[in-house]
Amino acid sequence: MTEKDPQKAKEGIANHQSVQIAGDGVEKMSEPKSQELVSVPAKATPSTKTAEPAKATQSEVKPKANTPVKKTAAKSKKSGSSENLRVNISLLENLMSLAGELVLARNQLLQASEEEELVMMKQASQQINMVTSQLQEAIMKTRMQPVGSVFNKFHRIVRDLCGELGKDIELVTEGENVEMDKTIIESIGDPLTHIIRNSMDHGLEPPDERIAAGKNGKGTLSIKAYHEAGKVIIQIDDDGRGVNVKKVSEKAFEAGLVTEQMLEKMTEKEIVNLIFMPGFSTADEVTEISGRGVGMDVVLTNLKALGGIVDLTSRSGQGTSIKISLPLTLAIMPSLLVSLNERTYAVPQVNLLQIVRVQAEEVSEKIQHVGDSLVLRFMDELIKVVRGVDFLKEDTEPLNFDNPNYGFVNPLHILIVAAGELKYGIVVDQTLDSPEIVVKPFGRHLKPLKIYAGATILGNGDIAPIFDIVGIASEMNISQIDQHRSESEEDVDKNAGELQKLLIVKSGEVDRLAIPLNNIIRIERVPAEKVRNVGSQMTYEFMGKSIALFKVDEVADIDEAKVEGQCSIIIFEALNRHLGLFVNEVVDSVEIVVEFDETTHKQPGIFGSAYINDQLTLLVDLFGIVEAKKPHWIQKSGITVSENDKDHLILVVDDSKFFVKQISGFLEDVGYKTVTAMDGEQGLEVLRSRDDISLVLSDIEMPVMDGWEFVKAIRSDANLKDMPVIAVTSVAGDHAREKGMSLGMNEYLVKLDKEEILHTLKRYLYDKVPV
Amino acid sequence: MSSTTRNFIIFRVNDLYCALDCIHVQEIIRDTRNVKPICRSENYITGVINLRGEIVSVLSLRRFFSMGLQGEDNAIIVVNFDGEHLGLQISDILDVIEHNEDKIETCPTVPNGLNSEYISGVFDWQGELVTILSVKGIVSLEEAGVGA
Repeated sequence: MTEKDPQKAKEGIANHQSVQIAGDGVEKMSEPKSQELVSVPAKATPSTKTAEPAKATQSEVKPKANTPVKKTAAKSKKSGSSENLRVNISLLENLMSLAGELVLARNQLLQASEEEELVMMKQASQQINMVTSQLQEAIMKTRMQPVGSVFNKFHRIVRDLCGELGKDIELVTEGENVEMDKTIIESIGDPLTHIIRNSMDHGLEPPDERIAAGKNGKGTLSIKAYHEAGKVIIQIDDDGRGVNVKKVSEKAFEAGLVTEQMLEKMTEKEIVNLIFMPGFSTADEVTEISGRGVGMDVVLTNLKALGGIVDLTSRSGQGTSIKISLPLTLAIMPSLLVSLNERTYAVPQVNLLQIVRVQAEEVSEKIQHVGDSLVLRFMDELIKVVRGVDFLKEDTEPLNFDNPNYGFVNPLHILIVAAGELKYGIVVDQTLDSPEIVVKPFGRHLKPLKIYAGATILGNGDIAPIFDIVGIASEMNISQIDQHRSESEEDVDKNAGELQKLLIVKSGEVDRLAIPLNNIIRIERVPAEKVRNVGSQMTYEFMGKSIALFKVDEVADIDEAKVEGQCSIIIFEALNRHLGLFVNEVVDSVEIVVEFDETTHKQPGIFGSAYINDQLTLLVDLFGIVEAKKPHWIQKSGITVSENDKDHLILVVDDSKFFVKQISGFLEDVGYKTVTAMDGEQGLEVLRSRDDISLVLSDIEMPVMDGWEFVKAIRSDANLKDMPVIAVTSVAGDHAREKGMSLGMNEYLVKLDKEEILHTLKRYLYDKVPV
Repeated sequence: MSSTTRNFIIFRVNDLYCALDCIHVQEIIRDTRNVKPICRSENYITGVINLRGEIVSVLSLRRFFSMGLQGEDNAIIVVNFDGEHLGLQISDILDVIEHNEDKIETCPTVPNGLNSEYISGVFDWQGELVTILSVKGIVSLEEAGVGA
């Protein structure tokens, strides 16, 4: 049709154009399109040519092209131009070629059935089978849209609102490329806009108020999207004043949403979340922007309808953070396919850390059992392992604990999976492919099965259920101490105290040593030949670099560790470099509350001793070893105290005598002066009775008055409120750290990390004239 | 007498004659080989099928009504209720008929011990008592507290 009658051909193209544009929205037509955006008409013509059977005459083509024009045009008038879809050009090209393939296969099939050729027919149907599933998948993909399209319009909203409200706010967006299903993208726009308007109206303060509060006059509002644990997270943070807990509770009470008794029992977080209740509004006056009482509850309902979860955290004076996690439904994600009892399952790759293969004869060596559960020793960490068949409740032989291999005859494939703090292993029969999959939800009859997150359709049309790593963990009662902690704030406070994570090692034949785990970067088990001697210095190759290796017996009077056979190298970081500690064997890792004896065995490189599991164990001072072996490194590092700083007096508050002595000990070693107190109350007394203290180092978990109360008291005391307070604890959980910072702690450090503590002290005392 | 008629699909589940309003029936699948069993599901769920890219649960009415472990499940009726799809595996499809609404009786007693949630009426067809199943009841059984 093109050569004979160019005029008509043009018309034909024009027609095609309008067909596409009608479906594509009117406004786009006039605009020049960006590279990425499909210019449909040009592509459409050649492919229609292929698609049109050769028989079709020109006259047939034209009306065909004409009729849909009218129809779609009429339709598009009704539905407006909201039904736009931006599609990546390469994806569309893929679709086009698939459509071409499909037509070819159809012709083949027609021909085969006419000639009654069975073999050809089989081929054709196979071809059609494949092409259709590919086509289907490709079309599904066109629904995936980058979230950036929603984010973009926020810049304008923020700019406009800034003018209206007289505020200076910068919007930072991140993760625009994260793709989500079109329907989700379309529905999150309004709730997000609402949240942003709310943040700008209530959360972020006007410039003068911000400056008065010691903040940058320009407020920051950040929106970011990212994948986490198989979900898409959209997080909106502002650095405004935070949610006013008092006001929220008053308003909620006034509105009759809660009773006084309820309020008493509620935690701060629960109160803050009252803003999601229907009918709630904190604004005293209804403004153009917010305060009509229909607000956050609608946001919550809308997001819940999408299967989302909303989490709001607010820190008074520091800002609010709203985290929306949207379901993976329809999201395309990489996965690993595994087989279990000849069935295929998918495991989201976001949850997958590693695949470990254990030979049947190695099982007894690598896998232990505790009660009736299996534990794998993996990178010197103990990981609970479950068999896939156990949570699938398939009929299989129970584990045979009398047999050293537990009855496993084939090599084991163990998937090490993690979700948040959880980490465990799943034994599967085989690992297969790792395709990108589209997650489809199960119908309501299968929804109650927590072990699945849905299912996916594989390339061959088969269905593979997708494992829900968190669901399986709860099903198999796998939990971790860390998990319990984050669940309840009260627990954090109780456990954060003296619980020590220690690695127990053997150096030499007899001596057991304990090393604080948070100092350790990595443990490597290697043959002794890997340790080289350069002069008198032992070295070891780690990450392509030669690092210095120490032995505890080089500085402390303990049994000599012989460099022979298999040994373990404990890699730690000190003075901004990687260093290694040579030990003969890693025995265990424990998390226990221990009382140390800081005198009997105290020597260079050894903090003290304790009885761990009824055996005398020496606590290693890694920094002390380096200090003793390489004193010149320390001097160069700048941790040493200059003459000026020596007059600083530091208050050390801790209820454990061991730590008080420990910390004040090394502070005095480098030249500071110290005073000590056994709890917050004593600490306050000391602070109030003398005015020459430059800085406070405080434990958190203490009797009478704990670290939280202590820092609150300091901050509310007019004379003391500028005193630097550094928290030192045994475990640094992010949660506890956040809490510490929100209460006014300047820093949150781990006890026994001498180097870090000294560095931090120096930073705070620098430029500060001793009082 | 003017009265409306409704279309029903009549089928057999073991010895029980059942009917479904055609309004809710989307399609019939004769090939039951592609049902993929799902571990840990309720025993009346035979598995899931790939229905043009949608994962549809398949429920065996025979097992759902506790009508014994033996019996054939030869066809799947895919029902659509408010956009939700569910496959019902049954023994045999018998007929599609037009039936006068007047002749449908609400059933006072529950035949074969079936839960009344799942029944919307009975009528007579060629001398057999046919039970009209309530699609709503079966599709949304989770809300009725049956699903676990």
